[in-house]
Amino acid sequence: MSPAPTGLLKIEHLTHIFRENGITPCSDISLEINRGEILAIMGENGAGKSTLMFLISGFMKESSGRIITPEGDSREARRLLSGMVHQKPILAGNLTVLENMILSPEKGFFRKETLKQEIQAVQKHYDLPLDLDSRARSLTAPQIQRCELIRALWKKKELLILDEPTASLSPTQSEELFELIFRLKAEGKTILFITHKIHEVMKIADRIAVLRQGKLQGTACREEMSPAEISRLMIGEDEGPEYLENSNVSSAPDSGEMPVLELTDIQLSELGSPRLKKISFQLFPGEILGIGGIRENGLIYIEDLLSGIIQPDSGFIFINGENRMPLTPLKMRRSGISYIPADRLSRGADPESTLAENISVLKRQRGRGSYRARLIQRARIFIKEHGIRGDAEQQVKTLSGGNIQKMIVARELENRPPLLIVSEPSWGLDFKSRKRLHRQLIQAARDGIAVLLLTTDLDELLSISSRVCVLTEGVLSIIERNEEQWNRNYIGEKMTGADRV
Amino acid sequence: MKKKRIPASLPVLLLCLGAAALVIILFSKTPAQTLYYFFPGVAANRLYLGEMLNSLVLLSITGLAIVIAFNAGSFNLGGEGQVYTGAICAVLAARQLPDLPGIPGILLLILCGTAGGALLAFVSGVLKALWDVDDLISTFLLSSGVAKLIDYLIAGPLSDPASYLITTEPLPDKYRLPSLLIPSPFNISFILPLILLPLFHYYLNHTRQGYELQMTGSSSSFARHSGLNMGIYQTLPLTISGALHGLAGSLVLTGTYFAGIQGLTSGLGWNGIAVALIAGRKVPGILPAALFFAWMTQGSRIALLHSDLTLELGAVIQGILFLLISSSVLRLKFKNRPAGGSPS
Amino acid sequence: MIFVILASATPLILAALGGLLTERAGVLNIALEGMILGSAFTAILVSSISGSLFQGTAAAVLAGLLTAVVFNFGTFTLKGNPFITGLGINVLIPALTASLSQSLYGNQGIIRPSDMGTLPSVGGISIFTIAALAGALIVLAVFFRSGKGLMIRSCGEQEDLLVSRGINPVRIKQEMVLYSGLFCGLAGASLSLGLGVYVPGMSAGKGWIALVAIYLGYRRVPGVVLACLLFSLAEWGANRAQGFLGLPPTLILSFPYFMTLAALWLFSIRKSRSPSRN
Repeated sequence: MSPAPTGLLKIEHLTHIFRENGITPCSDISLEINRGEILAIMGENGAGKSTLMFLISGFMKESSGRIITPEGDSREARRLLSGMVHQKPILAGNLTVLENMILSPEKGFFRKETLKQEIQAVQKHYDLPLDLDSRARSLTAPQIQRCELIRALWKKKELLILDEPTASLSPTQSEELFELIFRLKAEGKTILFITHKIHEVMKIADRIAVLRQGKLQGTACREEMSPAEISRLMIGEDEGPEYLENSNVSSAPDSGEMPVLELTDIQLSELGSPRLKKISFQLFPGEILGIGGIRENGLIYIEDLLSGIIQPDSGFIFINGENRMPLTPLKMRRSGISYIPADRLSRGADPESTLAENISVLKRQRGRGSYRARLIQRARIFIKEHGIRGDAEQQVKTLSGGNIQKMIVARELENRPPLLIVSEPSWGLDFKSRKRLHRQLIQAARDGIAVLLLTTDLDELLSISSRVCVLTEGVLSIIERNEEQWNRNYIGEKMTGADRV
Repeated sequence: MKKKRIPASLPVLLLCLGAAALVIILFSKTPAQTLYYFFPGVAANRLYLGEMLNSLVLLSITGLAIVIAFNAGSFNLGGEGQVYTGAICAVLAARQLPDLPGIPGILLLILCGTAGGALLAFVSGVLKALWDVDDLISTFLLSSGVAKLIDYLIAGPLSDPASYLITTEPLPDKYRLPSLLIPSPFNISFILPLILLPLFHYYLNHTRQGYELQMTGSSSSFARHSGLNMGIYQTLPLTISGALHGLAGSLVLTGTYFAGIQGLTSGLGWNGIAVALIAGRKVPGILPAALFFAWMTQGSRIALLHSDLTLELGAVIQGILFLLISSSVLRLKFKNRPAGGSPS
Repeated sequence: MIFVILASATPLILAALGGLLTERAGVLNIALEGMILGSAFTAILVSSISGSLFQGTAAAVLAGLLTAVVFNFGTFTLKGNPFITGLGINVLIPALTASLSQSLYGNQGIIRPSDMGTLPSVGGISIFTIAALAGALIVLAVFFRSGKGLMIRSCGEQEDLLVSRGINPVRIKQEMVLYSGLFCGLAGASLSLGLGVYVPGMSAGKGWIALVAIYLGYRRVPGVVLACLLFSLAEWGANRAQGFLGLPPTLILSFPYFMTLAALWLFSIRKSRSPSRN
């Protein structure tokens, strides 16, 4: 055997076009992946990283080009070769962890106990504990990741694809993952590591490939590429520091003021298991209160509670000092609260409707004549004012994700609400849009709006919040900016519940 | 929104007509004659034409009923029972108030019928708004149950002892809508669709409530989180839908049968769904769709009457129509906004 | 009493099992009603011609499968709305049976072949009832002990998972529709052969009630079977009530619909109290 790297996978002129909207997430990509290497795929959100991985793993079918494995270039061959740990979980929640792992094209009856023992042996070998009999629905993000990883190892996949694996991990957990990756490399596995975090890549990658707007910008060994160079390739132009200066953030409010939003002793349980335990906090005008944590079984409950679609078992929600229980979406909107949901295409916008119809949903348009005509007229002005790229009568689903979020944010801020609830605002946004969004939020707080930010993104949380709350296993702890606990590691570990899993 | 000249459902309609013609040619011993009665024969005499026009009127009303519910994301599957309820409420009103003068009497009968249909659908709306009971199933179940109940009323407590048929006592002449095309049942009610269709078109497309209603239908989640009053938009459209069905029922009574006969709905509720689907769930398409449907069913009826066919031609074509009408493969493609609110 | 209830629950259980398979695979199959009716007719027709109940049953299953093929064609090949496709089947089948009845028997009413044999039974329990209960056990085993079962259960929940494992979810759905045709074929056969007679509209909303039983049974096999038994018990009770309350039989016909609605309502009240999101 020669020590020189041998090819595992060869990608030739790979292009993918989404038929529904004509977006080209991958365009003419040619790349070789060597056996036994750790190749980092880098790029901003929307650069086409995930799509490329879906194509490599056989989940999607390419529009043109080839992906050649040692077993041929069929989708089946790719599927057998690779095991992918997805960024967005795709497990079936109604199945147990074990059942999710067993699921394969094999139809026949299986021996559950035998398979379970096999998998447990793998778990023991790599020290990856996870309860195989729990429902996939109850897993946390790190656990879901672990489930997919265990399956890939059990199925002896040669190529492991990890899509933004550290996004849901604390710094300590990330370190553990890196150790595992090194160990797998030593065992001869090939690893594709997708990320947009440069410091991680500099730590673990053998080679780096950078994508921007669906095109491969370049590949190089880690030693040959500087962080600045990677950053330039990713973003395209010199954009300065990755995150905003903390000094932009407004200061914590006086305690004498009346809180715009106050939660007292909120308890919530679902299917018998407690999700929120005695949650209390106050939100004042002019501040951004950031709540960090994991989304499933965590932040999502706070979001649903405040948007009025679920009710707590006990506790109260006060808006401007008034008890507003039981809160409904209608009541919440009538109190003038604005809401930028994480689920933009279902709660924040209707993709099937036109821009005009989406823009005007909050505000009744006065005047004479056809209501539709009034909506369109107003939307034209709105679109111009806020620099949205699109026509008033264009369907929202034909717009880019960034443009849709731009529309939602502008709409929600238009009425100068006393309170703005924002959930995962920068999901799927590219660097520039993300920066503009953060500026908008900071400006909103300066204008006296009380902003509640729910986010799983540690950097976002730290860079724009005046105060931070962290939700860990249903318990909320508040951290002020001037406290010593205000540091990445501490908050990161609290957010993901690093001590468990 | 751009008006389209050709209906997107045209291929399906042509397929259905083709299927009908094929069935006739295959199964009839005198295909030419049967085909004649199936198509141009409908306009051959006053009775056939009048019957067709009468069912055109009724179908545009029930079609409109379904379209309104569709636009709000509701699926009213209880048309049959609501039409039936409308008719029986009118019968009851006529029994209670036999002494009114003609015109106010007829108006009152129609009002009672409309209210009856509305009430039935309102119950489903409330069940949906308060407890999230699926409207599709609840309208169907409620309507089916009530239909059996009305069957019982007609056969039992309300039955006409003087008649050999299972029917209620006939309406007095003054409560009957006079025919405009004797001997057919075609009557003055033809004015109603001419008023109602433009009215509801304006309501849906040019008023705030119509906009919010359609928003609810297109994405109930977005509408809810945007603070639209879901209570209203989950009950009102269904209630309107039921009211229109009830209206159709009272018209069937006062204009066509003049007595509560078992099964007088003759599929008006189901056919309203077909009309709404052919119309592409939009108001402007209703009249042509109802014309197509009325002509086709009348044609099948006459063709059967005049031929040796033993096939339930009308129902078979209707079944085929349902099978094909929602197909996205068979639709002409337009760059237009599809109506939201798909059931399921 | 238990035998009576079991016998009347048999078609319901069979249809509900078929519906459960499609439901778990993510297809709302309202064509159950039409499938049952068409199979019931075919069973009597073929039995009376061939003189064999077995051949009648086999033909009923074939009729169910054929209907399922039509449903698949409308829903998947033509990409139609499964609900409206199902509606089409429910309109088409009574029309076709009536037409066939007209041309074969000269009327569209009740068909009562004279020389019908009796269904084989074990200890007073009809072979169809045994098939229904065995079917429930088989479905249960398939759901939790076979690869196919995992595919079905994840198909209605997370299609992406199947795609990522190289399984085509649409094929699973189509297959389950076929199985529901098979089960409804048996349901129809048990309905008409059990009575030895075909009555137009004899499915009497059973397909719909089967669907509601699926929801009431929390989409689980034991729950669904239990819900079917409960419906039959209620129906039996209503029929008995007819005797001593003097209720007319036509009125009784409305009961299954109202009871089903009431059950659905209670179920929804319970569901809306738990803090789950849509």
